Amino acid sequence: MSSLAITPRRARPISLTALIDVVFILLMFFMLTSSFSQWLTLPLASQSAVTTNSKSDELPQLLVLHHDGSVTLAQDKPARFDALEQAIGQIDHSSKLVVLPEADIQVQRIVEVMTTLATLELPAVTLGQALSGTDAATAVAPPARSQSALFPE
Amino acid sequence: MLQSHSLLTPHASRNNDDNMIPLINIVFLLLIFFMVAGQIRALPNAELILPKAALEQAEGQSDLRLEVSQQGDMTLDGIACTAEQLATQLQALPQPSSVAVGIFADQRATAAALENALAVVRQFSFQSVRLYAEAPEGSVK
Repeated sequence: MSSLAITPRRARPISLTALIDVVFILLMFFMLTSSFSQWLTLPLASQSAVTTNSKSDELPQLLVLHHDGSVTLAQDKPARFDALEQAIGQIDHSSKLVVLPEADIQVQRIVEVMTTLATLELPAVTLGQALSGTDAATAVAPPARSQSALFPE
Repeated sequence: MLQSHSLLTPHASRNNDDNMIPLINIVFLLLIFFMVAGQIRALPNAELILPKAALEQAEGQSDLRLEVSQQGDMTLDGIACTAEQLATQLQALPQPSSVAVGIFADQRATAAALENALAVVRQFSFQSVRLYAEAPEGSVK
């Protein structure tokens, strides 16, 4: 008994195979689940934001995005431009701007326009409702440029 | 034969382990890279291609995830729904004013499809409504 107790047990070398198995599984997990793409967010107006930011007596500028790439900027009088870059110079930087895309405009185009407008440091740039072709012509008329028309409940 | 076997086996075993050490080093480095550089998060539908935008706004946390596919189909937190069902589910929220809504719209979706979702979302006073975009490749800071 005593001889058994005294005899030192020979330590078995740890096999690296088990270790590499676990590490491989961890590696697979992180490779498959992790994402490297960076997400960015574009704030859109919620009902509360519109209510907070809006002044009831002030009509916003409207920017209608047409499907052919042209835009209509409606301030006192609507003016149509072939490209957004031409309209940017005419935008009033002290007033809010509402972007109204035509119904068939793609989301990518909307995001590009909103991104460009975000660099102008306007009081607010919001996305209004999508317009059908006939709505686009009438929406820029001053009577229609009210919050209730742009943000229907 | 027996003698040679008894001599070779430990030697061969040690050699195998020795050869694995550089492999383990590389795998460890890969593991650390993916753990540190990658972000684990719920991804949107694989068919959804987020619009590309060079925005400076940081990603925000959203409590609700509303996805709009290229065809205009909507899913709320991964569950397909119509506009009416979406309105019903949003109405059931106890405190909409403390909820941040994230909209994941396909870049090829039309404004009309996005409007279907936004028309419902606008009926509620959410804390924030954000449209998600993806940084163009090569512009990640």
